[in-house]
Amino acid sequence: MAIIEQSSGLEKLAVKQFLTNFTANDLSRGRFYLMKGRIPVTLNKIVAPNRFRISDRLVQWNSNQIKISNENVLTTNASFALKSGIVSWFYWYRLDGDIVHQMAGSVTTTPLNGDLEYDSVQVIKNSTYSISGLEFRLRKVFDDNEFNPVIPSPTPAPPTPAPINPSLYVFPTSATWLVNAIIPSAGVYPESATWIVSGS
Amino acid sequence: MIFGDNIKKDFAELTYKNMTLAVVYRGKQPTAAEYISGINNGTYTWSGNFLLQAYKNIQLNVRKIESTYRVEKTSPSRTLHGDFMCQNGTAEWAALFNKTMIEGSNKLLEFDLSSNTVNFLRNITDDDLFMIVPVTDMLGDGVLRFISIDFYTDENNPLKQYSLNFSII
Repeated sequence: MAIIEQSSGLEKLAVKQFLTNFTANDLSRGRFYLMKGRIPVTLNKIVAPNRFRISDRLVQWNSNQIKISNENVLTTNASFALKSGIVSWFYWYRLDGDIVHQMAGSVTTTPLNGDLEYDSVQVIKNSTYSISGLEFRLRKVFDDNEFNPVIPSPTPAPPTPAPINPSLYVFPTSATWLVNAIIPSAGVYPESATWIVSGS
Repeated sequence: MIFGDNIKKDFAELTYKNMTLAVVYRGKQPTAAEYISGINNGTYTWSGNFLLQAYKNIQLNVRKIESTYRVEKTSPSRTLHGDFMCQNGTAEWAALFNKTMIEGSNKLLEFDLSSNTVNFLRNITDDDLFMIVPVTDMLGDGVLRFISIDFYTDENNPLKQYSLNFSII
């Protein structure tokens, strides 16, 4: 089995350069959402992400609220929840002219193996939420566990080269969601909870 | 996680299309950590027993093949990329380097045209930009492929095919 391994430096460069498509500049048309409802099966048919699943948006961060540090770690400012609900997936997109850069991942409680796992996935309207230390990584080692279509060629057809499945994933073992109720005197839940995030 | 389809193209275009330097070796393919140790103790350098031939300025392009984006060599198959032949042997693996590794004040290696040697200028670290890939002949599935994986110092062995394929589930 063909094995490909990249250095950590190359992995970080690839993530850094990939994330520039999602951040670019503070004025770009991009959003990061915590969403309720079913995660889409594919994103390829979404051509207008700014109008996609509006009713399922629970928390929104604009591009100028999102910072990338150490080349691959996402942190946000605090943002008010748009409505109450159970977070089941996250969605991040940025429009670059006609090009849509987008990603989505599942959100579950621990230990249900979502892309992001939290102690609680309940969001309360008008509570504030932020994300700290959400790290994106690529795998360093790849094998030929996935095959490309054979390119037509004179017989005998050679085998296709080992493909790379970088499998971009989030690694937020140190990420926390800081939740601050805006009405401290009321019995708002949660008042001072810290969400400990562990990636799958 | 799921992504828009252009993420594969982004990885290929933004990062991996710049892996234009190759050093071909014989022997068992090491891990990245083993390669780092081997460079720093001389095992995998020009003076060691494993380096066969090196290639500079490989022209690469990104091509879409159905749902896959492939970084591939665009130059004709007999194009030479220097005469950096070191020793005889049967190739098994190679190290690919980002083109920036031969640039700047902290460059990692240089291709010396006067002596036709490749020299590592400092210790390599895991922060440097490289990847370890398999090498085969045309019947194999290596990232780098040659007509023959038998290398000789008196005959330049042209790189026949270079393929890095991106197809994320």
